[in-house]
Amino acid sequence: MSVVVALQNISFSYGQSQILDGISLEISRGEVLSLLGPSGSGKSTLLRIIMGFAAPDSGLVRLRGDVVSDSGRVYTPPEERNLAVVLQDLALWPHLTVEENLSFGLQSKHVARDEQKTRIARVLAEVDLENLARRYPAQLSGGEQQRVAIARALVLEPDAVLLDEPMSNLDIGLRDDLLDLFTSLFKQHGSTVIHVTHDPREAQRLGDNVAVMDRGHIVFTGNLEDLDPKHESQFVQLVCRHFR
Amino acid sequence: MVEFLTSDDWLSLIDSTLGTARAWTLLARTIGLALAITAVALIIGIPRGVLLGKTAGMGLPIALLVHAFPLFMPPFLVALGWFHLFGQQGALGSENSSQLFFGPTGLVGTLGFAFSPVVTGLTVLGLRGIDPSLEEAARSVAPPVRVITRILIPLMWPVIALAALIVFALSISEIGVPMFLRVKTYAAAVFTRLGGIDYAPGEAFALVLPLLGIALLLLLIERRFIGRRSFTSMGIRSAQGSIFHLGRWRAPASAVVWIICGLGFIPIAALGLKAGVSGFSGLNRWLGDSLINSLLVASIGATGITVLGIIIGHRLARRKRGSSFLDGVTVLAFVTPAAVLGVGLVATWNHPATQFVYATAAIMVVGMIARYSVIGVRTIAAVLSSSSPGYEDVASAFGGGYLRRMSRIIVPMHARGIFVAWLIAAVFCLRDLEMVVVFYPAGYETLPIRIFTLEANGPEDVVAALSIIHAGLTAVLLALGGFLLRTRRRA
Repeated sequence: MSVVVALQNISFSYGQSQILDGISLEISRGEVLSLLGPSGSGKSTLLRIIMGFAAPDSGLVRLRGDVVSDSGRVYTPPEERNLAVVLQDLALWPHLTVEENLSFGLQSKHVARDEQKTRIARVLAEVDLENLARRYPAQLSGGEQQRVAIARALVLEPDAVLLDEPMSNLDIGLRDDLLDLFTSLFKQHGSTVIHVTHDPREAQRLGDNVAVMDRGHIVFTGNLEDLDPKHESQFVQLVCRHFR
Repeated sequence: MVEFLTSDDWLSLIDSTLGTARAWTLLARTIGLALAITAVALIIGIPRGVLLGKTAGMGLPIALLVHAFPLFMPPFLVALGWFHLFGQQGALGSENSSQLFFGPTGLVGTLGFAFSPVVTGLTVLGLRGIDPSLEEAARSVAPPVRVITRILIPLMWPVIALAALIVFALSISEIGVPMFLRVKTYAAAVFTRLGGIDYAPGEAFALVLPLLGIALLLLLIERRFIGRRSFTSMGIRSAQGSIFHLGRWRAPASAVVWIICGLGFIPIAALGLKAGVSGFSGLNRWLGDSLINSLLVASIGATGITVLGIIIGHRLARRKRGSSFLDGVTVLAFVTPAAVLGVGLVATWNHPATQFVYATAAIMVVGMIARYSVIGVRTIAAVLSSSSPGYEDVASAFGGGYLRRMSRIIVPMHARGIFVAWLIAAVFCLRDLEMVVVFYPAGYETLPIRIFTLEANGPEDVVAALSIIHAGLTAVLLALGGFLLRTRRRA
């Protein structure tokens, strides 16, 4: 399988704090990778670097083989990376309707109007929101807003979808429903996904693979069931206790 | 106003002034000019605000400070500076430039440019108030220009609408520039009936009635479409949105912004050149007490505005009962054309029993507080709404009463923001001409009034030197304020 996102020895610091220290990762087409880590482990920063909102201090970011960022430089701006993002607070534009939220990215990519309509109708049907297209985000429930956010990402047919803890503010029941929906949607679309979370169960359930981050390092990659309870990382030990 | 309406001949006065097409034509023309000025200010101010607030241009943080300075000068002085450049005898002047300058084009250009920092400043604040994630979500799929036009500007429309409202209100109030450029406007017509050869105070009272209607309309627009949305949009966020990198356009875009910001200083430089050594050497004879009067009135006025701002702004930020009404009153006072406010103050205080106010500098302080209290209220409300009410709740739970909470918790916690409110209010009091010129008591001329009255017959170099003194006074006040703010931040 071809590699969509490749990170090579990424480091990033903020003032005196080393946020990321020599991170290397590869995400293949169709793979769902969960980045699991505690608060402050650098996982959201890594996502921002992949998106192009920040440049690494050192290291390379490649998308489909092309170098898009390296030491202190962003060569390809975010809008030209063909990635889609779902942020923690969803960031649905409040002045645009559901339909307009979805069409914004398509218009930016100069997708033909008919094609836009077709894609929006299809994705809204997939997330069961076809009747709410004319609503504004404030007129939707929390779960509906989540579905709009994922629909907005998928409608672009991006090379990869980046999820930055989009379910952290939801109750357990709703989170389970959405995890099912997300899993089936990603399978259906063959999406490449990087999913950031601090919840081991969510990471394991959504991800084909899980990369565990702690203090700016990747300390484990694979299936969480294979975690070593005697690992030197306290976070890994904690995950083991909870997970088993 | 009540006094006027209860007098015997008010109906005939209204008939003789407002019963003619001339008054309404003049009003329509004035509204048209104010709309044109507002449009120019928006056209200059919004792109400049976006460049200053969202791009990593060269030295743009300094340009942000520089661009605002002309706003803190009475527009009349700015016009005087442009006159020394584009008037017939000006350094770059000709008969054509003079004809253009002394007319509606000159008025719209001068005031549009002079008021554009209102739009720029609020645009920058509005951009900073937008949730960064909304912007990042857009940046991930769209180029910067599209993000700005489709996401950022629509999201901060209440702030832009507020800017347009302020510029319109300032434009319709303006007296000094239209009179200097010999453009007939409604506010100037009211003013001329309060003194000089057209003295007819009864007619002035009648003429202000339509302006009062405009003020109420502006208030209605503000309440309906802007209201508290404007200052919550300007809330201070801990995380700011991204900065757009201009790439190869960085140098040219920075140059354009610097040129536009620097343009504001050209009239001040022209005044400096006009003043020369002769202007400054003759200052003692002409300055009188105007400098002291200006400082006194501005500092006392700003303090009163700040105290009101703390009381009403706090209630507004915490959505207490009646705060919206009080806020509305301060907005009404600000959007009411200055001439109306001036006439109202004359009617209220010009009685034998209140001469201790009307015949002293106190009337100017009262006027300043009435007109500019919205600055204190809105600035302090914006500052306080960005902090958690929890601090006060805890203080209250620990037995702190209102005064104790305000003096020990609220004011010290937000001292910097409150000081900024004082500083802005002081600068606006310092630059006021259009209101105090209506009622200033003999012997209490402020510096802008001194310059305005001298302009017609005084020596040009001295008038220019006085204008430079005013600019210097404002600059010193702002620099001192900036220094104090920096010192406090370090502390």
